[in-house]
Amino acid sequence: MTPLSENSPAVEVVDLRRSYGDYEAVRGISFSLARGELLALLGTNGAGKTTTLEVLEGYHPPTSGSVRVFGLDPFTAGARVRRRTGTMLQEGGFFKELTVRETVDCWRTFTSGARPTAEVLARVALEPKAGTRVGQLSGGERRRLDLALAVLNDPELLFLDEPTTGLDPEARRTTWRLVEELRAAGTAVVLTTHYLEEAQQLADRVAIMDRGLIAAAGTVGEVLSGRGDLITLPLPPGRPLAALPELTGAAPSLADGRAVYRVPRSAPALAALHAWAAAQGIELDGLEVRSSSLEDVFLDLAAHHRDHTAEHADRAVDSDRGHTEHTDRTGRAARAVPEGASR
Amino acid sequence: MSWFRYAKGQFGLSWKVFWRNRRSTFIGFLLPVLLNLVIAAPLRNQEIGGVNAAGYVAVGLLGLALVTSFVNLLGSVVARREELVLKRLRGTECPPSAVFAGQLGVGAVVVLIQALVLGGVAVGWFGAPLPADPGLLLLTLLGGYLLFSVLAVALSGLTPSAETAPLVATPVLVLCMFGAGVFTPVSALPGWLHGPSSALPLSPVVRGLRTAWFGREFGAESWVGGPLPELDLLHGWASAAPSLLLVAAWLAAAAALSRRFLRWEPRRG
Repeated sequence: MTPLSENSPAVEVVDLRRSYGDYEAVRGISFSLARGELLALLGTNGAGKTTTLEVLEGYHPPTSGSVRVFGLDPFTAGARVRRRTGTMLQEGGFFKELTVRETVDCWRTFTSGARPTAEVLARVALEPKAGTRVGQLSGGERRRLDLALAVLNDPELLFLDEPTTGLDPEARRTTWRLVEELRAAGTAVVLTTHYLEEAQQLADRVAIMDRGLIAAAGTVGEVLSGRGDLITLPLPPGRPLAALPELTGAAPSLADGRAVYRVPRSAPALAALHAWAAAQGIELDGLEVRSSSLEDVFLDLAAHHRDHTAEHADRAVDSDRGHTEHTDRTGRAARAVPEGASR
Repeated sequence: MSWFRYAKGQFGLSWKVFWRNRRSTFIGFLLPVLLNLVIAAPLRNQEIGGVNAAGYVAVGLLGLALVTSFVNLLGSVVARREELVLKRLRGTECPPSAVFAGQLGVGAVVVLIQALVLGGVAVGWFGAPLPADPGLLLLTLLGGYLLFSVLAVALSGLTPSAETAPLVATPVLVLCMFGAGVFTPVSALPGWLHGPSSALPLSPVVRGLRTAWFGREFGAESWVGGPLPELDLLHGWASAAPSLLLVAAWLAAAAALSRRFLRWEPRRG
């Protein structure tokens, strides 16, 4: 048996591939995670995030490539690895017959170094529901119970698969606070999320997955660097897009009825825009300026993806924004085929 | 944490869920006890093969308790899998073998409780004797329980959903209930059924349990026949040996099937 190496990184993935039958869900990705670091895996449904996470959690062996958690193979050394990790599945089941407190109490009997039940429930703000049967919980409360059990052993490494999906904003913030507390105490975290805000808020590093590959990776700053700022404005009355000027060399494009400029620096571009508007006698109502966000990177990838698959009419939708909403609504069913085909 | 502590933790979890769930309490515990009152009790003044007929049926029902326990276990393993409970448990540090050891352990303890209830009623009310060979009785009961619980785990892999579990479990239950000599000796069945009947997994268990309880050579008893020959301990074991071997063979087959078919997650797509 490989000895536990105290110096090995929390996670090390080299050229991981994972297929289900003919479908290759993950097509060769590499990354590593230092102790105490937080990596967010982003991507549309079906991009391979959950598959990657389930290989790390030891549910499946890689089809090829290698995966190490604390220097160990999570598939063959499962129990040893899991003593030090916590897992929150995208969807995990509990016994409906038991109350929240009983569930945690039972879990404590087979968890090394388990925290006291009351403390764990307080951490996820579930104490008011301690006496409620799990079958009576809302979806968001069940997610928090799952999180409570994932952090029961004060893990050194935590896997969170869409931890805040279905949570109301307050519960989401509770979850974020808990993740930040754990990180402050040295826990490394790999999480997947659809909420770019969540990644931007929590992650040291992000990896954006697209069709089984990592399309962009690095710190949030690195992924966003060179993407500049966005200036958007509603089309002035009677002016088509073609009538708008170039700003510091950038031509406008149209999105959701608004003209969008992507410029390296906003100040000179805004000066040019104001000068043009003054000369034309136009009011710039509804002008917005912001720096690029992960969402823009994400939407660009989605648009890129759509261009490449335009012949598959089922995916084509009107706008970038419409596209993400489309996959959010239907992606679960679509994704269940490849990712759920696991054994 | 040792394997035993993990298994103990899983036992505690399954124990709570068993008694909290009405379906498992009824099928897994109450059913054989109720059948005992309805079917065995009226026979208390009759005899078969030289033994108390109500006691004879009560011991048969103890065998049937293994099958109702099988029905319950099959349903709950499938439900646990389909509701992603198994997947969630597998994501913990608890070894997979301990997860099943805990769940099977609960069924074993429930069967022991049923043995005490059925045996207590048989001796205290029906007037049956105390078990002639408690060691052989326990061994047969344990072997039979292992066989049926491992068979439940194996067949869970062939059962697509909780809704279809009864379709898989009911044929096994009905065949064993009426074909394995639980209520009435196999000799009461038409002659051409004797061969298939003795091949059922419950048949050797029921015969072994009766041999151990009454200390007689069972197998040829009938409602009109005379008393069966009595056996001392050594001859009791000799008489039960073929039954025990048959149980062992069934157990090996069930274990091989469960290795092949057990699934931890629902099949989708």
